[in-house]
Amino acid sequence: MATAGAAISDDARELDLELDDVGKTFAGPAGDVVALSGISLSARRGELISVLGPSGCGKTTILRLIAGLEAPTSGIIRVQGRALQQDRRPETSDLGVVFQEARLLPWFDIEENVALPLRLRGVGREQRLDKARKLLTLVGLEGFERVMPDHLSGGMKQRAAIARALIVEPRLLLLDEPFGALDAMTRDLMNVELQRIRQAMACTTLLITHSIAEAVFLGDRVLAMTPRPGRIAKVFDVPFPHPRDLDLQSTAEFQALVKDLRRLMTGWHK
Amino acid sequence: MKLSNSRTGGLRVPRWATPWLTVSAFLLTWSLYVRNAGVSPFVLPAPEAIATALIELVQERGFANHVKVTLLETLAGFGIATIIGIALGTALAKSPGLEAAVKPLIVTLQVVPKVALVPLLILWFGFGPESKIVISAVLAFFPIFSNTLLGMKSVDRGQVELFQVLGSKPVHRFMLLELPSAGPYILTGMEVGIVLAIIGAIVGEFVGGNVGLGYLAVAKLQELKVASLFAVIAVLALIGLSLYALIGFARRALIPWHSAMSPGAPAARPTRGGSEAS
Repeated sequence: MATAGAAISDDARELDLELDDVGKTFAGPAGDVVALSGISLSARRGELISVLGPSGCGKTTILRLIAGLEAPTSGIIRVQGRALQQDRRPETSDLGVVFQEARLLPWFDIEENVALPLRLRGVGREQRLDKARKLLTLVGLEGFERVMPDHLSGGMKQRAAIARALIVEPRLLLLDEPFGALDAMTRDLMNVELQRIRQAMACTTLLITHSIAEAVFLGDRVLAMTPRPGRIAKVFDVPFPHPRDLDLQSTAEFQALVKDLRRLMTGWHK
Repeated sequence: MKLSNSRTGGLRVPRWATPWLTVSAFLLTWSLYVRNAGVSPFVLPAPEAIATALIELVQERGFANHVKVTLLETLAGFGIATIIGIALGTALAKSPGLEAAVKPLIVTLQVVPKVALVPLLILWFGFGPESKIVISAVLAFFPIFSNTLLGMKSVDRGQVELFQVLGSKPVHRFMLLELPSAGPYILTGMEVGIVLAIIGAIVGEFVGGNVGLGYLAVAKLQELKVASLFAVIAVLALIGLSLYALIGFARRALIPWHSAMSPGAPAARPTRGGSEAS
């Protein structure tokens, strides 16, 4: 296990996120379970990296390690060049997280939910709600500011969750299968929306997904993972320029890349 | 015998009227039974006799004071039980070590029939209102405590993680997440608790003291004014109903996002159902 200090290399300044030989082992009742092993990746400023893998491959664990919800068993994680320690989470200002579920608080309306990160930092009511309304417009939820979460559809809730993650203007956005619970059509639409929002907010993004098309459509790079124990099998560069529109998915180049990934991914199941 | 079919015929009764119809039918049956079966008014007076006795009771000197004393004892006991119940329930939910150490004792004390403690509490706290307040608090404490504990422990894991990721201070986590999450449970505990608090005050007044509606009930019995005794019981029922409705009102005001739950049965997670019209 490496124990490098907090020294920041010149190289690291350009990197918003670095994982260096990270591993995670969970102690289970039937012995230790290796969830992740030898995960190394680095994300340049503004880049979107898709982490693609089958269910149970530990891809969500990668996000949880970066978010500081779990501690790695081995290896080093650096956010903006600073290593996370056991007692040190990422700076909250660096980080926006969108979980698989929206996790909105049912006792607050949408604008208070979106403003929650600012409220926790002691930002005054007028100021934080002002900001929240701007973000709700950005994610296409204008007019729903005073609606309670239970009255929104799944896709709208996830839009609100994205607005909540973006309200602190994070440099690093972590998305854990944010559209996994949505139907295919809504999902396509949300992917286009996410791309548009990212162009407005330019933040380095890690997208965890089990959808090959989604990983390719949104990603600058796609990290394909093996089933448990999760390792990075291969890294694919996605050459298509942004902004991409949904018709891209019908092109031969896109489909060739999807086909390569599918062959790689389905290969494990044999 | 013919069963009426609500679809094909018969009267359409508005939903709000049905409980009143049930009550009216109950009182009518009671009245007819007492008149025709020759029941002694010392055993069971007719409802109209009780109504007359109630009107007289309300006009009696000192009646308002009896009501005031019982109400104050109940509310003071309930207030103490609420504060201690929420504080202790929260503390135990936060600290599994403390819970393991303290909860067995609390549960053991809980299974002691608390009404049996009443003479002891009167010995310790005297014949004045203090002993009744303590009895009231002792009875009301447990449901509030155990529901708070349950509520604080059933905070959604995912939302806790959200607060962790956002770097929340403990005080924010408590005020913005844990307290609202546990709110429906706490209010369910309070609904049960308020009823027990009234029982505590009355039982205390039965055993010792010379004021309050519990005392008044015993006094009416000793004077063999059975209709007046029933009138006192009716007043107590009315007080109980009002306080219970007050908690129900608090529930709707404080946790409007949560649809009504039946007392004593906290729902696993807040669900939106069609029951909000009730």
